[in-house]
Amino acid sequence: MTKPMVKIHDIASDEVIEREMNAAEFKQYEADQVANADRQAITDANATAKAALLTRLGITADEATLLLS
Amino acid sequence: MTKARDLASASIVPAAVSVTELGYIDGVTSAIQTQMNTKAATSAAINPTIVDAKGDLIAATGADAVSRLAVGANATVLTADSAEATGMKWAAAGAGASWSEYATGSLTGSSITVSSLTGSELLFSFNNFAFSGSTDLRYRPNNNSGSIYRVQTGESPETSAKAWGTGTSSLSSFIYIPAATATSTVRVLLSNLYPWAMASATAITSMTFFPASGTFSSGTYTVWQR
Repeated sequence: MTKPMVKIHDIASDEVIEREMNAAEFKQYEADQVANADRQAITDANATAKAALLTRLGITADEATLLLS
Repeated sequence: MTKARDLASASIVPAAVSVTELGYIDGVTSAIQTQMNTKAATSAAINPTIVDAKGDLIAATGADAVSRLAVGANATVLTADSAEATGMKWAAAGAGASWSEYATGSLTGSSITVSSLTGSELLFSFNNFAFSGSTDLRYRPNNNSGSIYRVQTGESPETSAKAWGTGTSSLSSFIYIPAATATSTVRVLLSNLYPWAMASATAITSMTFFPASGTFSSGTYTVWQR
């Protein structure tokens, strides 16, 4: 399986290496992807809940902001 | 007749040695090897075969001993280092009072890691970058995968900070890290969009930038430090 490519730039030698992720990097990459998906799910759920609440209250987001200011 | 020819005439030399050859050592007044050693030790000539490439240097490795010091990478400077055989090495210029551009390149792949950072202040700029998917750009110093990032005080620390804007359109931005070599437990990072607090207790020597998902599809990066 082809792993994602990474680029490493050593500014002391100006050497640039482009290669596939090693095992440790790929493990971190997968963890990041999971964390990102979880974070996105929370963001989406909050947005849905907010929209539902505004609908129940019958006000717009701008009006809600005005109430809370 | 010379002494050499006298010797040759007296037939006490091997037949393979000619009178002409014997003439070459005519006038010698002391041991030839001793004279050669003395000459070699005091000669001002430099053996050109010591060096191999443009920019190579000849450096002393000790008393009466020299060696090749290969040319360094572009933009590096020669600096003394007693741990090196020649007492010198090529290294990145030390961070001075002025900002210096240290590296530039194109944003490709799933991440960009900039290593060998030495400046006490770091500045990264990202020009006209975009991602393959709708996402945001994250960073990770020193390959630290711990929960060390906060966007605002009071937020739960995360394993990778939210960075610049999202989307596939081209963006340009920067991130500035003051006190990069300090060992304080909390440091602040600034950009044109979000300030962050980051609980990294060690000096920052590398920074990895990566989209939260997908890959870089375009853009360039530039690194400054001082």
